[in-house]
Amino acid sequence: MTAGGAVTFAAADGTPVHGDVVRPEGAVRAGAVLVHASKHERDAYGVSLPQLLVDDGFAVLRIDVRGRGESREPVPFPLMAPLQRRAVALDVAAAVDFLAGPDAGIAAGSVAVVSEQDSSGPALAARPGHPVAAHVVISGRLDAGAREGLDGLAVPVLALVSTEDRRAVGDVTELYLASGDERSRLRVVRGMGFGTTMFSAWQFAHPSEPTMEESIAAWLTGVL
Amino acid sequence: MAVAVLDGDPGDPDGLRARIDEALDGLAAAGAGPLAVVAEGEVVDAAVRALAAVGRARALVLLSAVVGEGARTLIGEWPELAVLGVVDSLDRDRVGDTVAAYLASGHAHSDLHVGEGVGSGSAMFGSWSATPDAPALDALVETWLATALAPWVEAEPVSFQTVDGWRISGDLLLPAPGPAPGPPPGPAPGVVLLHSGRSDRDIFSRLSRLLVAAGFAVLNVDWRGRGRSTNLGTYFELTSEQRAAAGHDARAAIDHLASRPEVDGARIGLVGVVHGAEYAVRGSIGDERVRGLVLLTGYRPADEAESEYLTSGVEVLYVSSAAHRPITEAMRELYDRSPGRRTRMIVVPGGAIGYQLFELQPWLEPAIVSWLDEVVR
Repeated sequence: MTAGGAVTFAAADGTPVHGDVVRPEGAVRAGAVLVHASKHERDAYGVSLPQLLVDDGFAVLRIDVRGRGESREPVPFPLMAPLQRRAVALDVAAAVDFLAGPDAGIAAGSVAVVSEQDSSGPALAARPGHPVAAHVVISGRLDAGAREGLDGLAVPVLALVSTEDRRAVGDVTELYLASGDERSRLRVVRGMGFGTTMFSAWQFAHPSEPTMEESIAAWLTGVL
Repeated sequence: MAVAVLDGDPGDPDGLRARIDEALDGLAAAGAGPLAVVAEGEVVDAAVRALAAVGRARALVLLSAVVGEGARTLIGEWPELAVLGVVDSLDRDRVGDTVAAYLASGHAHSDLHVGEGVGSGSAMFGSWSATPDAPALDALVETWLATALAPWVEAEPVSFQTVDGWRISGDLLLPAPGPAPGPPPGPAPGVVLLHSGRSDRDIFSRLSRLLVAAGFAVLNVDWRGRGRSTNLGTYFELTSEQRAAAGHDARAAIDHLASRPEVDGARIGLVGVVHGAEYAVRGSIGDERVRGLVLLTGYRPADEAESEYLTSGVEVLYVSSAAHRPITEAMRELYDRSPGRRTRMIVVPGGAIGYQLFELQPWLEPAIVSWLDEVVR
């Protein structure tokens, strides 16, 4: 994996967004923006998923959303009000446009967004200049902004959720059914918790099966 | 406590947002403490929308409110905002919206007062008289605001060194002095909060506030390699030995909290989540200042010293998820061997860990506060 290094760019409202990008050593075939939940930071996705994606020719951008990690100032996420939190959509849009920028070597419409828990609503509501090609939603929660765009959702969606997370079960099922793409998938597991913490829980409970990261990378490689 | 009152014509949304910002700026500049907003009638809808964009308000009093679906959705997305609705049942144009705004709020302290024949908006204060069973409206609102704002004390940023060179960053919250519902006078018992591996102190945003409102001094830290405690590296870059030594972070946090004159250093509790639970135990072994430990999912003793400590008389609240069978069995074995009269074990369905249980089981954080109150105070 080639280390691309730390990056900073501005969302549409001027809020600085910090992250890091890694690119494959050879040709870049697609891009993936990884967006963590509000209780996590950009290292939530660990090393495995970014590595698998880079091995498959993806450029990978991990961001700290506003109010978290390096993007913590000026208002920490726990102190934000609802519209300030929904503005994470601006961070995601800026991230997609940054990754698919003119020198990136990524074809238009080849950037996917991977999101977890309460970052999924803003991820789905994001309206970047470069359209999002696919969504991976891990224990996703839909907010009003996300629901506005569900009608006519034309991109493929991979939704992952565990049964005890009742709110997310309802929300990701609604998302899956709204997607008109036949490549969309809904995967419901049991007793694995929420979000990226499911990765290690799944591996511990199912050591002989593909990891969740492998499943996500394989699906993204198949659709992009 | 500081209160901004909004009434009259809402005007244009940008103008109202500017008025609210200016009012809150003025109150904040005066050092007035946590901020509340009282809004009445048709301005309520626009006020909710404006506050949802600027933040800063911690409580909202709605008098005879007009509130649309969009504003109600925003209230529902704002679990940290306490809402008090007040309306006259004969005010048919406003009672539905005021009740709906109250119901939209997920805050445990949100409340509703419905009078009869008391008028509308701020005029209700003149009509809503005290009875033998209930105070007048102004006293009701004042008491409600005092309780709603009590958790919102100013956090004091602190940092301290561990024995192995880590600079630990945290927030110290001290209970507000003053009349009821304030804490009793004298140094307060203390609680150290230790988050899990993928998170940082922000997972305890609600629990820390509940604890301080209950009269505890709270030290909420980022342990080594997480959050703002990264002077020697980030957590996932550390060796397993370096990570395991984070018991030193817990011990340093106990020492720092106990050193404060506002804190009773002989009455300390710790709450640890997954790896934070390991560090809480490791940092507490042999420390008689520690009266109780809350171990929230993911904990198994690493060695005999930890098992012996946890079964020697320290009170423990074990919380595990049923799907994590080896962890639950390990905790149950410790629980069964514990002589502590207040040691408890809670097993919840499913496989959620740590902070995820706070969302799935909203009773859990208040239950932790109650248990610590019983064991540590």
